Amino acid sequence: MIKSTAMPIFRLFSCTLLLFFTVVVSANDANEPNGLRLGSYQELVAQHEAKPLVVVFWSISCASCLKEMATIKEIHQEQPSLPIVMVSIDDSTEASAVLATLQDKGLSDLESWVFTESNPQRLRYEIDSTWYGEIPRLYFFDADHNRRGISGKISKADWLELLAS
Amino acid sequence: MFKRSKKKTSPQFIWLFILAPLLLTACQSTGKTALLNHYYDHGSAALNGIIATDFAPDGTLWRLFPTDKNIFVEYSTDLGRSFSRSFKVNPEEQKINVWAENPPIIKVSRSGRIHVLYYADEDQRATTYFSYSDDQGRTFSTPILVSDEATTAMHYMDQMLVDSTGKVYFFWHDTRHGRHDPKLGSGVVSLYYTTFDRVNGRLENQKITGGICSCCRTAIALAPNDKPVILARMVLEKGIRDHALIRLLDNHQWSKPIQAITDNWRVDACPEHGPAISIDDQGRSHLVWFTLGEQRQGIFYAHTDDYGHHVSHPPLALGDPSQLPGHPDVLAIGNRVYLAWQEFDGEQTHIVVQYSHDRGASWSHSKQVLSAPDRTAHPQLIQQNDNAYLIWSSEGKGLQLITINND
Repeated sequence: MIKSTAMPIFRLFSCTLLLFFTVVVSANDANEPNGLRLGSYQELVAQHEAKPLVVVFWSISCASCLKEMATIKEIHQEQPSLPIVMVSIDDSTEASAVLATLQDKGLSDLESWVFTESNPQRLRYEIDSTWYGEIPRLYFFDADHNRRGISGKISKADWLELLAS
Repeated sequence: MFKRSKKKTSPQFIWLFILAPLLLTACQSTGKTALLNHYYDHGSAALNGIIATDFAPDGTLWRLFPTDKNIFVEYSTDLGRSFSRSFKVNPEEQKINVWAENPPIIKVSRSGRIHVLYYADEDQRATTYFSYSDDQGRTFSTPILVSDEATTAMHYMDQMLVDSTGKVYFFWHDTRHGRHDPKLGSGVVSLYYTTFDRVNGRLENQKITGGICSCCRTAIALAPNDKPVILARMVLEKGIRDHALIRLLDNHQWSKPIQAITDNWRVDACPEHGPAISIDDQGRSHLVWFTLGEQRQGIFYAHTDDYGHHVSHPPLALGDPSQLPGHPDVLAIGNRVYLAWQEFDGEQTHIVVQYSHDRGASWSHSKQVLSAPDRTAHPQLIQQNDNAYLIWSSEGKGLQLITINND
């Protein structure tokens, strides 16, 4: 008797829990930024081998970065096949704020990363040994993956010129 | 009668003497009294490796130690080799927020009052709080908000200094005037200030200027007339982010910003790389700053005897350009000028120092003096009597303090 009543409740609880993890947690996994650690940047770039690529380093507290996002959204809408990767230099504890900002700016479908390294300067140096940390910092890769780094917000015309060159 | 009465009451007094300390301790442990109960084991790592320091007039070194929920204050009478128990500043836990460009501050006045400024995430991120202690840290005043629009406008990058009379100045970046000239670009905020002293306890906020680069820490120093001088990265015409000096005039008005440095760094970005200033007793302002401008790139030193109208030229380039030299500090003591900055070799951050014995006319060779492999604060130069000290903190090594050898 005890067994027959306990099991359905247990099963119901288990199913609910499973459903919760399937729907909620996996949904979060799909949207949460990836953690950028030492070595991650090289993997990130390699995944887009032989294709033009733009990597944008930004922060939730950087006004210039937030303004730049309007241009990024336009470029993304006009050239949806161009991979644009958003890398937040905020601490990984800010991942939810990073995600919320990308959603707010209509960029949550872009590949997204957040710094997850105890010494962010080491990570920056690995990405670019000449980068002092100013943001936004944009890297334009051509199909041969020649890289060009630009600091600061740029106009849509600048974007188009850099993508064409 | 008297004699007998004395004999009867005597044991009660004895019990009172035994019980009173126990009762007092019990009260303290429930937190009903603000006195005592000061020891806190906050562990060894400060939040993001950032520790603030200042010397008291008697040579005691005070440090502010942030953790994720609290602000602690401790002192050392042996130049940082050992520290006292910890005194907690914030009575209620808060989400403390610090980063290297936006560190908390501790300042000890000539009278010995200990002033603390720290940041916590409230309605706005990194909201600024101020508290002070008049009893060597045993009790702190209830922390108060520095901004009078703290709930609606972001305010950060605060500076706090105390003049010779004990008057406290606060300066900060404030977003309350959201509409700046759109031609300047983004990340443009206002510079605000207020004062606090024993008479005027109210923090009346006043705007100094707009056109401030939001994410570069503004530098402040006292001139020989005991009035503050500001060195700030401003956003000038065409979005050029160069440095200007502003000072408090004798008529209690702020001067207009004087562009002291022309690097022509035209960028719409967050450099997160503020300048530093120190003024010697003859009124020469010694300036250090970072730029990636058309004219020059890296960190530089120059001085001015008239608050930015005429500046020594060309600026002195500091550091090894291949090692990302940055975040310089400067300290002038009489004819001596000390510089410190950080460099990074891909693995470790190093602190490099250089000094002048003739008010910045000629310079020693630079010398690497400290290193750390992890996240660090920016280096800080502080004075005690006639000596210059380099203070630097990091996540792994905590607080490091050295005297700078003049030889």
